[in-house]
Amino acid sequence: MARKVLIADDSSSIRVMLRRVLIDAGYEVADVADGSLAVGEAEQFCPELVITDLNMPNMDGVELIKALRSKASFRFIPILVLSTEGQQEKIQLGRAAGATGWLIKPFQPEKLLAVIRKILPDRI
Amino acid sequence: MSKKKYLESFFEESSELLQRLETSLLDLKQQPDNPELINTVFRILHTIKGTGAMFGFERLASFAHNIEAVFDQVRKNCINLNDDLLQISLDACDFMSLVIADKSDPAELSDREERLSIAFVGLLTGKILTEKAGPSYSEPENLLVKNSDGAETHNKSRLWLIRFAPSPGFYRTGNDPIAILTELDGLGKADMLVDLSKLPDLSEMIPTDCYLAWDILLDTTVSRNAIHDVFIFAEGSCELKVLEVDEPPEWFKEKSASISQTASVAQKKVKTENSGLVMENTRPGADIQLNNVVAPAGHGSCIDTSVDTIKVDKLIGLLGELVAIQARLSQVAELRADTELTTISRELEALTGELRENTLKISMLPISSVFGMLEERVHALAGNNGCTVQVRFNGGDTEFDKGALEKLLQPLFQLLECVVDNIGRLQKKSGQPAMAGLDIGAWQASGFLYVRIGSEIARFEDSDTGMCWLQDMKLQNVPNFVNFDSASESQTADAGQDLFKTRTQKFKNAIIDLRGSVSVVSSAARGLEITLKLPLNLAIIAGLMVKIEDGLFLIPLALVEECIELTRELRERACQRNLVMVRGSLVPYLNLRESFGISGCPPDIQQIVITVVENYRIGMVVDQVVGEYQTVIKKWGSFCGDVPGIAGATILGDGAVALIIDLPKLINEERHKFDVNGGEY
Repeated sequence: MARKVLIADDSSSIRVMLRRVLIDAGYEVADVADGSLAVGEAEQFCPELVITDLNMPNMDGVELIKALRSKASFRFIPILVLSTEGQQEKIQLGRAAGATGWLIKPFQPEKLLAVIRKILPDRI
Repeated sequence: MSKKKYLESFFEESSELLQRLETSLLDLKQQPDNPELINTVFRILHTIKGTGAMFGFERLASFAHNIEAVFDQVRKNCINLNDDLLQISLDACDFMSLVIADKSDPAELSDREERLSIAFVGLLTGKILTEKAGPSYSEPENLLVKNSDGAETHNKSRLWLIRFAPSPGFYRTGNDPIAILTELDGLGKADMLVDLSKLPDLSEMIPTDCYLAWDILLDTTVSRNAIHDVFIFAEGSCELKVLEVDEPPEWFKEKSASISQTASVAQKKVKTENSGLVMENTRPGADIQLNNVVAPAGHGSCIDTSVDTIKVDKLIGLLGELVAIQARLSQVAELRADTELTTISRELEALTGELRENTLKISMLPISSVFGMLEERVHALAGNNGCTVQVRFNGGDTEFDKGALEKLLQPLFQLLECVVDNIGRLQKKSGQPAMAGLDIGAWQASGFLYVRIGSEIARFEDSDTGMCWLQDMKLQNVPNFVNFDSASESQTADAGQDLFKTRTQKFKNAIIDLRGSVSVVSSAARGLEITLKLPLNLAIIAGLMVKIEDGLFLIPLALVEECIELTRELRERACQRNLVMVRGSLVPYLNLRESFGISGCPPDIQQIVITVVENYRIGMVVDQVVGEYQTVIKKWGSFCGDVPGIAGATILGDGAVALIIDLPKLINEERHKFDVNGGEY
């Protein structure tokens, strides 16, 4: 069974690209444009990994991580943060909220997959 | 992966974003203090920067970054939003549209870009001198690139001592220590010691916390950075020390040694237990030679399950008693007509049945487990005789009792010896040392195991002294069928051939012990075929329970064809010849009452159980047919000795004993009483 990945990013082209890359790599993907939508979608879709942008209109990535971590079903799943800002403080905020890892845009699709493999190890 | 397929969505989104940017900027002209609008502008610029970088528009991304940085300052009230700023922002918006459309003259664009960039950077540097223009997008700051590209490797391998102690909340960041350790293991040769010292009592343990820590000795050629990259997401939520060492520290070596010692002791234990089995398998007092052949000889097959046969016998004995008790319970439950008791009894019945089936399987081994030894013996014999023999096996998965299989080996070796001798001699005689085929096959049918050794080339010859001991068996009273179809009239062995006599005796004893029989068929067309037929003596027997006076007997169901009534009228018509007409053919019958010497008066209507033995129909006269019954054969103890016609006994539910009739043996004993030809099947 394909592993499920939820993408939250307000940029539709980023979402389209991530979708493509992940589906080609054999993942099952759902995507939303905002953090506030992501929480509801996560409840429905039950992802094994969440990839979120930091800057989103209604609920940003850090808030989304906090919201997900407050729910028992998402307390331990890996959450990957996509960020354009290399600033350590933004990443630290995300980490403090419970992000598992981060990836700085721009990145190659191969690198995204490598990072996903790192934080979403193969099922035993 | 080509980016082309995503570009379309990027262009579409970007022009939409730029349109929204323009609208927002124009709105800002009207209401310059609206923080919501400033935020929108900032977010749009941020998105343009992010997607531009992702899709290879580094120039655009870098440009957008500068404007974004300015609006960030506007957001923080560090820069005043005035018409000038809005105007150059609108200019910038226009410029970005041109960049995306990619239709303008590059030189002109460059010019414009420079002008606008200077304006924005000027705004930034003029207001806040402390902050630099932000990260450059042409060189993305990224640790992971090194890692995924295989890290910077050094040719020389170095030794690293790594202490990795995740914080208790480690799992709550979605990280997994196992993934990290696995990744680390992939970098080189890693020795890992787990530190359990922080592990609390079970009652105090919070299951979602991480209490473990690891000390890892990593022998790798990759750099320190590459090692740190493995922990990139973990750093901050774990204690991490990476030290380069010249050699493993003493404490590490000691701890590691004590662990591997424990492991090797455990391994050794397993090994000895396995090899010890071979010895245990052989019952005390068994032939030493048998012991040798039982040992595996490089064929990967050996008589080897991990339980002593004596223990298995004991288990089967107990199982027999359990079956008996269960049967008794069933009877009692039925008598009481108590539904609850009946339910329990039924459940127990099902369980007992399953237990019985599985227990009996324990002591069964596939015949193929001795094929290796047989093949080896054939090749050795062929070598001695100077001939080449190719052995073909079939039916290797046929199962047979382990103990019986051990006993069967010697007689099989004897048969092989005589067949191979025969092949060798025939080959020499004909002068054609062609490859001779030797078939060894096994199969199960009607409660018997058949093992056939055959060769198209071999012939049974009167003059063949090597065969005499086999032939001799017919004359000796082997208590079973020994059919020599083509050689029944042949001479006995020369007197004085003591060797053959001993052999015959040995073979005979082994076969008698197994309650088996031998048939030898030799014909010009099919060559020589020697078939051993052995009862599956541990198997449960499905029997037809019959009654003679008060005694209960069990006739193996596999041999039973049908039951008919024997009325006084029929009996009289037979004129003491013990023959009955069954659907057009005469079938001889045996009165079991007479055979077993049971006194008393038979009932008016008796029953004849028509059985098929060795292709002959023979009837067994009994007083009453009780019904089908499944049971475990209890071994006839040495106390009772060998009772003719009885294979064993079984205990019934009510504690009564039923004797199991050994039909072939019985018929052989009573053969003189009837005309075999009359019942030809």
